[in-house]
Amino acid sequence: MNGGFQINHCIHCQVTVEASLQECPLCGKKLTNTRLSVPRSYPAYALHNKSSYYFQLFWKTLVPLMFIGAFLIPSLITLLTGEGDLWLNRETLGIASAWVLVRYTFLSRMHMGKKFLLQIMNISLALFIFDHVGEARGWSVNYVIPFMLICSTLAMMYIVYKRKRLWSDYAVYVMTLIFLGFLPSFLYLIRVTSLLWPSAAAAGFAIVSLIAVYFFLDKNFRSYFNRRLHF
Amino acid sequence: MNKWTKLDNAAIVFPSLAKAKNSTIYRVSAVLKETVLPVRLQQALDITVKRYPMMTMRIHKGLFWRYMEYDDEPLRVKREDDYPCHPLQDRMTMEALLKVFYYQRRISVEVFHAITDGSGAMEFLKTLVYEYLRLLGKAVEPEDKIRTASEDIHPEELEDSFHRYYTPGRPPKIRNTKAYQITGTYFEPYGNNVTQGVVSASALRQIAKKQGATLTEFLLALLMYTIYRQSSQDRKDQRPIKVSVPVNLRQMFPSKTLRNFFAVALFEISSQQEQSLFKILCAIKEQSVKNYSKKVLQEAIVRNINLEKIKIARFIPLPIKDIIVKNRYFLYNDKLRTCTMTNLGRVDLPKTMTPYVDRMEVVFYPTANNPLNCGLCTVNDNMTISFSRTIRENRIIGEYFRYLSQEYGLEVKIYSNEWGISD
Repeated sequence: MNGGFQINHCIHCQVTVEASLQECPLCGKKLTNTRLSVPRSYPAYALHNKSSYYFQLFWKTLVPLMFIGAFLIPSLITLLTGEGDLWLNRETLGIASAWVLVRYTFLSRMHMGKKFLLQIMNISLALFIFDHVGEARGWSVNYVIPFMLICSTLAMMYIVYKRKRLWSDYAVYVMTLIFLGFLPSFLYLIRVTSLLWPSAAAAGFAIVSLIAVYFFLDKNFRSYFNRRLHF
Repeated sequence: MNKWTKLDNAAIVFPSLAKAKNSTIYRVSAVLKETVLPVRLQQALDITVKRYPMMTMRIHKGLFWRYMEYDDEPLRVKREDDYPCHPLQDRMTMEALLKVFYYQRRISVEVFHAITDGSGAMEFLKTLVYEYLRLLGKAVEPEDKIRTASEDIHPEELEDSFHRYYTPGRPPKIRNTKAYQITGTYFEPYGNNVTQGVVSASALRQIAKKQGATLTEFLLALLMYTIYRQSSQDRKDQRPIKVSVPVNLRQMFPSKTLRNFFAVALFEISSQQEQSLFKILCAIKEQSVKNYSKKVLQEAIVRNINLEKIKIARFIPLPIKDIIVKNRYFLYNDKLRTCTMTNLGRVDLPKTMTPYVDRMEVVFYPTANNPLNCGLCTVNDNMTISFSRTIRENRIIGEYFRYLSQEYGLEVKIYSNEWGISD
């Protein structure tokens, strides 16, 4: 019995070994009579499999640590001691936001819907803080956030409409976006927002979207909820 | 056919536990006598998936539980380019949970454990190889041993058989203690080293028979003995050595299901007492009688379903369930065993197929706390013993195969994927 492949011998272990192996897999001793031309049972693994580990380590661990070291710690010291220039907070925020953008969009394998949602929240939060750390004119909550929610809901619904098989994958994110559409109105009620019409437009669009989802995707929609909510 | 279905009882935990160091993906392979032709293999796969639609399912998250949905995206055969039992790259909704690879003479099927168990995956592989050989023009016949694409799908194949054999009751609680843990230095980059040995099943059966044991009992005893010899040098860890062996419940509880239907038997020896292979073998034979009894397996079914039926658990949101399951498993359950040995037994191939198949392999994924596991499979008198490990230390595997060759004079043929060894 030779199992269909050419063999070599390990004298130490007293076993036969696949002919192309240079070391005995059991004891690690060098084998004589190795024939590299003989096909191996397993492929030689591509270098990228191993280098991707270091790539991930660099981007997902070392880069965030460098940012924390370079920006967050000085900012924290400034905040705690009250000495120094607070300008650094803005820069830190911008860099942190950019890092979330790069790390969770380009370097992440998470679901596209989740990426979309996360970046909307990331950008909204960054703009809100920029707005309020500055002269607090409210441009972020009055205009940018409501219209960003309208555009992103529209974009995601268009993707799902065009590629119907994605519906079950994206449904939870579409629904979350639709419900986020009511957030500017809530902010208006608690007087964070001073301008009504953009918030009302976002809420109105959310209602229209809900109706569209119910009527145009009704069968899938109900089936989707049966699946999602079974217990 | 419903477009979606609930996960079976055993499958519920696997998606919560899947991560890089616990892929919950196992591999069954057939090594043919000729190099595999990818075009024909793809055609064979296209035919086979029609017979096994449940294998193309993808897992989605609900509010309280996950569920599986049929997916019509065609599966593609791929040349093997990564280590066996590689974790899923993407989310379970975006990536096929069953993959087919080829390399030289080997056809491999890698399956996420939530889809099916070893028995189901082996049925799929048998059909795939049968269709492949048929497309090559070989004179193969199913001989009632292959589920061919021309057959109708039996509704029982899709059932959760745990529920069929559930009888309400409260079996006694099992109090398990933590087991001796094999430790070592993880490969960097992390990966799975597979070291396999092929031996003659009939010669091994003769050796086991002389000791009054079955082949599985003998190989299990030898594994525990080699672990014991290592543990005796590790004076800090005096916990018992426990090896878990998955049990195919179909043998005791007739079922045609292709979904998960297995229980786990735990075998245990003390690492503090003086042990010999003979002494361990006696202990295993004694424990086998209890572990494989219908009563104990029935209790395992009831215990599993009772957990699923806890009313409060049904209304706990999935993210919280995931946290509970993960913590329970990695901090407790995974430490109740030293390693796992799974035996798919003698694969019953049609006589017309055996001339084309050299051997079959099963590779079981290592876990976070069990960095070494073992899979056994026999075809054509070739038994393949496959060790998979994620640590550099290799003494247990070396001693295991050397024992077979030096003590019993068996011809052992070794091959490996050399992950972490050659760069």
